[in-house]
Amino acid sequence: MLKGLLVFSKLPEETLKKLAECLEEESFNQNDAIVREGEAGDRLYVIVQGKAEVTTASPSGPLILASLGKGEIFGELALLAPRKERKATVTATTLLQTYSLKRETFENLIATHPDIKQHLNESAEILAITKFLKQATPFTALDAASTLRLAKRLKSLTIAAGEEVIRQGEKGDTCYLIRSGRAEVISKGRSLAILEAGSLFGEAALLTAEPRNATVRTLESSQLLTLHRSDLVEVLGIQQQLDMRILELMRLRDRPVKKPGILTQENVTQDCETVVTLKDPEQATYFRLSKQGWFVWQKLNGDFNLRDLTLEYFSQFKIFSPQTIAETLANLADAGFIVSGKLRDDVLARSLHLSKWLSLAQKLRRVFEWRVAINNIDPLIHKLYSGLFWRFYTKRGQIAAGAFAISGLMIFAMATPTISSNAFFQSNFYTVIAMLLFAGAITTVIHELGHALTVKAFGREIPQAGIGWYWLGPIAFVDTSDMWLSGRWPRIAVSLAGPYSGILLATLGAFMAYLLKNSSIGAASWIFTAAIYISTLVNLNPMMEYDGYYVLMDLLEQPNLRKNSFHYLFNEFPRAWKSHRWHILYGLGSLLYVLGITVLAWFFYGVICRNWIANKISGPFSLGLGLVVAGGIFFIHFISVISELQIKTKEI
Amino acid sequence: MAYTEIGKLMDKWVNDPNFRKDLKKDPETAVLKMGVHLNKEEMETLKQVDWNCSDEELGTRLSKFFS
Repeated sequence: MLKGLLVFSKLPEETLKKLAECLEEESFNQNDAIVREGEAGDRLYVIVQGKAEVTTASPSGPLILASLGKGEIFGELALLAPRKERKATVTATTLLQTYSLKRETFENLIATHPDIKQHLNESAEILAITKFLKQATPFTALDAASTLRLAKRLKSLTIAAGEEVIRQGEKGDTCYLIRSGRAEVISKGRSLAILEAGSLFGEAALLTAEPRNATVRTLESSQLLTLHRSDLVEVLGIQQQLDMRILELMRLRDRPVKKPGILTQENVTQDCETVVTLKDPEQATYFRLSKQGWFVWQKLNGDFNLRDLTLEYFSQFKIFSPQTIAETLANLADAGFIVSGKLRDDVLARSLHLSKWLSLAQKLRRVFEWRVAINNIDPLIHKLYSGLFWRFYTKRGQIAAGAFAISGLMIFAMATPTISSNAFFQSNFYTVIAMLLFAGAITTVIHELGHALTVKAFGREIPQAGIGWYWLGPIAFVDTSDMWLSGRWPRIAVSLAGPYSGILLATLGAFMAYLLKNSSIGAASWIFTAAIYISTLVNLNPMMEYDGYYVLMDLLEQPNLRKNSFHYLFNEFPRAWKSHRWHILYGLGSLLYVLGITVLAWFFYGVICRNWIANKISGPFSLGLGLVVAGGIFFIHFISVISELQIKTKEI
Repeated sequence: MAYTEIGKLMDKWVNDPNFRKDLKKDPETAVLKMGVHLNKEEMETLKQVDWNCSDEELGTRLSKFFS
């Protein structure tokens, strides 16, 4: 067994035999501490059977440095240390059987075999580096085995005070950890940061395709640990937490630049706050900035990092807000409004940790939410508006339309009691269905046209329109995102324009139903009108992203209402109850509604599938098959709900 | 608060995620541990957050009709 240990592997047989005679057998129970950090060491141990854990103390509790098993040695490093202090605690994690060797015997051994001492000194150094990595660096998140592997790859380097370790503009393939000492980060003659022990630097050039973005010079004699690019890239991808830590560090140190060509529009909210909306015309995306965010935005010229921005902000507003500034920059970067270092492909590939489950859920979700868009539709809508429909948006036009809509509702109410006795309803089931489909098709066009023309009335653009599927049924849509540049009342007007247009169309049907109530045309017109009124009510439902949702969102001035509500419900409840009560209630309402329609979808499709299959195949098999198909649709629906919640509860 | 003190806080804040958590939870203790000395007024500036509305990307507005 001693021959199998690397430290003793080169000893002659006779020495090993004499060594074996000096060994003493010792057993320990689970959770027994065999050696304790800081205590004087008087022997080393070799594990014969069982497992043990090596830990070191830290403010947040014991940190695991290594796991040991059969044939491994521990406790030897303290015997070499000047004060014989244990460098870590070793605890049995199972019933442990060991052989121990007293210090005196060990000291005699290394006196006659100095190569053993050298090997043990190297092991001591690796243990010290492992402790350092676990305690005070971005690598604290690594597991024990990975930390040990990393520790073995790091090379030690001592740099005198005033020396440049890396130079701005140069290419780099090494990054550095400060083990002791201090260094200054400089760019264009300006000091950007002071780095202390535990800080990592030089990693940005390794992970992006760009040269060094700053110079780093030591302020005092410093000991550094160097890590080559290939080793850093390998370490990324081992654990998600580590990736996040290192990428976060890069982001916090970045000096972001505004993307060129961004347009801005100022508006005032109901609370009299000035907000600025950014528009990226290339991507057709929008971003809202508060007064404070606007202050930060104006400084994003590539010269300021987070530290500088926080200092500038403090000078202006006398408030220390690095967290909020960092979040704003992260949101701007995610939305593509600022330009920062692009990660190299191999780094991206290793660091993406989208679980297979979430990836599958997102794909399945596209079954229930997809669309086909027509781009470049704005010129056509503009022609329609300027050629004819602008008249509806004058004061006279609006008064006339309003009076027309109200009269339609009254006429419909008057026609309804008498229309039910019309024989048409009893004998024309398929005609009724055809009328409903016809009403749906016509209303779709008129509804979306209403939205689109109102957008033009406010002088905004329509990037696309189209058709698709949204959860329970087919939809048509118009992209009215450009209304983000307008105030909330114009946005609300655009959202209501669709249902309003439907009501105007329904008014025609209401008049026909009233005037021709005893004929089949009258009955068909009544169905047509009723269908439109019902679909208008459905569209005003705020619990899913229909027109009613956008109205509610703008009334409350809460963009991303649904996403934020789910976040507060799942991540911040109950502590956010006082400050975000309405978000939480809305989130709960929306969740219950979505679950409700999931169950409804199951019944709905279950009935259709069972009936359809029963018509094709007779016997109990058809019932089972129908249930399986319905169950499959329910499963996909349910997964879609979960994936929507997963995406929308991502921490803000 | 002196500029240099803010600079020290920021260097620590950027490089040490544990310090960030500690500062959020208990700014006074976190700053004292660092060896930075602030008066009562300066300590209050650490606790304030005056960002009233969040800066965020605005989602796509798709006006849909469910037919």
